[in-house]
Amino acid sequence: MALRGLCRTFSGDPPVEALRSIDLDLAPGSFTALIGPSGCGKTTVLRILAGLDEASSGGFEFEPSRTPRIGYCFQEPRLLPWRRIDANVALPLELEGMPREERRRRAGSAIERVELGGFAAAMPATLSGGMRMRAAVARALVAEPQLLLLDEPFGALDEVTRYRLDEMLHDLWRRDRFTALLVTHSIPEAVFLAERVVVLSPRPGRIIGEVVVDLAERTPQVRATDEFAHLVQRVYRLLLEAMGDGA
Amino acid sequence: MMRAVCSTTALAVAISLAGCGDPDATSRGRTSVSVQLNWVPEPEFGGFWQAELDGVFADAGLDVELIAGGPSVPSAQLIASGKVPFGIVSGGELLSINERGGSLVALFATFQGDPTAIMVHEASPWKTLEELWRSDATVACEANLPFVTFLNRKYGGENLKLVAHSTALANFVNDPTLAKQCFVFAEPVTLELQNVPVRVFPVLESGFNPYTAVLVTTREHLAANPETCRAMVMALRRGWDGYLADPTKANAAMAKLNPAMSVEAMNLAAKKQRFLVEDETTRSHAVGWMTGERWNTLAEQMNSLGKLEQIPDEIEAIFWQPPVDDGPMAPALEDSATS
Amino acid sequence: MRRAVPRIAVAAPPIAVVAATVLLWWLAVRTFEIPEYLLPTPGAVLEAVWVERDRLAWGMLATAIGASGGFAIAAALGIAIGSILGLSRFLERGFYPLTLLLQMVPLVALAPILVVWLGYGQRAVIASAAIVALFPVIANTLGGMRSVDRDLEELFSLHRAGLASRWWRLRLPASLPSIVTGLRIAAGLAVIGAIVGEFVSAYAGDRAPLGMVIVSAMREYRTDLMFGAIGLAAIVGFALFGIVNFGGWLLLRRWHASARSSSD
Repeated sequence: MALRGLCRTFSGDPPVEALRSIDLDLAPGSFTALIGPSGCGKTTVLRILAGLDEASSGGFEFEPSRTPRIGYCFQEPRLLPWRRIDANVALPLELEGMPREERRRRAGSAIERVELGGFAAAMPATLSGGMRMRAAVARALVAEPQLLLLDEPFGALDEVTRYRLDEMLHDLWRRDRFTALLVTHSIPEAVFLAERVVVLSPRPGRIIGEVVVDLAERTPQVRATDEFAHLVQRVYRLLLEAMGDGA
Repeated sequence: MMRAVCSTTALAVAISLAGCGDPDATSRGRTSVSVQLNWVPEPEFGGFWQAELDGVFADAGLDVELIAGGPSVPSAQLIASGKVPFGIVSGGELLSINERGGSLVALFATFQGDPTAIMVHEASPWKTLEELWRSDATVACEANLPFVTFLNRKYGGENLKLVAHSTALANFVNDPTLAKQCFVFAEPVTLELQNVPVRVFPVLESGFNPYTAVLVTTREHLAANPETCRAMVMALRRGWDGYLADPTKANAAMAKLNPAMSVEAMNLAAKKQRFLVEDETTRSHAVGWMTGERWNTLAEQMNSLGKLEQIPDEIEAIFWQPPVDDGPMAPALEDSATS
Repeated sequence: MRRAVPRIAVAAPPIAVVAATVLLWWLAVRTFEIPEYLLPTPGAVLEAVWVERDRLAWGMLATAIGASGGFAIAAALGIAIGSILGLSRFLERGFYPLTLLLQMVPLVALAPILVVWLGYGQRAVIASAAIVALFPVIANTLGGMRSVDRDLEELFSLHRAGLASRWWRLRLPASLPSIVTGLRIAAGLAVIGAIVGEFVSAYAGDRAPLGMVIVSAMREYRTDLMFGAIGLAAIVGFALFGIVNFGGWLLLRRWHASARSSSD
């Protein structure tokens, strides 16, 4: 999957140029993180890929040329409050017209994989923020997507919950090997999860540079290593450079 | 339709004809009274308008305000509770309300023959009232009135469908199978002029004939103002004499207040209603004359129909009328005793 | 640890108020010697209700059927119209004033025309009830549709959901609390509409609906029966309201906060 010369300008008075000529290649099964200052348009990239927004010019192409199955995680869980967790997770399958038995099976297994095992029958209001986010991830994965887009999904959660969910996400990715594109504000999170961290400049967003993350293993303990810290520093410097570069 | 509009705003419409004849009326110190009619201005009230036009009320020392009524106006209750001193009710209403705490006294019975009738379209299959009542037709009437119970008693009426009696003629005109309550000289006349031929069955032919369009007051008012009451009755008699002789002027005045009925229709109606207003009784006594015997008959009939729980012991107490030649029009100073 | 408020404490205030009102009523009639044709005593009303219980029971049934029929139509039509108007601002701006007209037209004037169009009997009664009850359902449904969470709409866009799917799976459940509020209001109005319709279109007789009983009693100066019938009409209203309320509780209890506090 590749983005070529992707541009997005929002009309208005004055018009806002959010993205300027983004070129990005995503290898199948790769995990890429997009990082940058607020307003640099990183969420816009995801939305264009998902079809929620349209590029002003440029575009993207997928290989093979069929549109892949896409899963999306928003910044909020966005669960339907009147449905149980299992019905929420099954929603994408329901919208596709999958029969009930099959839906139930797949949703059940997705729920198990995000470790929400006993809560399939619970209502979203009774769950904590972290658990709701797990359900959202389950929903994003239930249709077995080839491309998973994540828009700062764990940003609203506390540090410890965030670590656990990152670990969960990593495990899921390792097993299913979908292509993942993660937008985040957290450098440690980007380094922990991604094979490649791409840095964007402030608005209008352009790719300033990238850091290849070549960690041998990504266990919880790796966060405390020097190697990890160095990688974080490199990304940080790149980011500072991006922010000093243009306003 | 227009009739409905007229009658629903009726309570607010006060027609004061004071000053019609004499600009110095108020300075002469006339007694102001109001009369609550139970329908819109129509030939059934012709005597009132005639009395006003001929200056008869003025001569009698009365300043009369005529308040139009309608189907939603509770005229009997207004009179019985003393809100208005005089009013028009039907004979059955007087007996009913008196049984429920009212104390109405009848002074003048406009109709010796009850004009209540049922009309059907000319083309309909029923040739007599009995035939209609035994069928499964739909009849728009006031189902709670005594005459309906009387007809049910007499002819059965199990298959009949009774619906609400409205003032609008639209339903009847649009539905050739509908039968409708009316006054013999009113709705049929209007419809004839609109080229809708009808057949009319007067209810009194079946044997139920209460006094109708009865002028009443309360016992308390009569006791406190006997001269006023006497003057009112005398004036009304003279007014009716004048109206029976020539109704055209009064009809012109009433037609202005009642857009639902044209002058032409009113003139025709006035002609048709004569035989119900005049008969041997009125010719030998006076217009509006009442007898205890007829009141008794009504009470007995209503009692047997279950509409009246008890027949009043003293039937004389429910009506009062001054003798025929009762002296000059102006109110006497002494109390003229109840007749 | 606070003890739960005992049931009796909740029920006591309204019962006390009702009892006091009845007592004042009785005293007023006695003291001012109000004649029966103006205001009956509470005792007379109860007696009339007992004596005419057959007629009144049939009347309650007929009125309940008319009101329920009108309510059902108003509910279905109102939700449909509210949903359609919620689809676009253009539609809403175009048609909402027309629906306001529904609320403005006085039913008393409209009822006789309904009889001309629909004939005598239950049809005109159901139409009356439906007309009066329709507007609150439309207004509340529209309000609910307009306040559906935009984030959730986007979720459905992500999955390329069609209009029908979106309505059934997102908009209708999301609007349900609003809709139920509208239905509660409509229930009471439906009974009023039915009674007014009955004034002009009902068949008289032993099975006449309450509206006809009220009008007949009024014309015969039987205020005791009239008040009794009016009271029973109010009970029909309460009953319909109660059923709708209960239905709302059933639908919403699992997830909506408003349903958890038993509102009345």
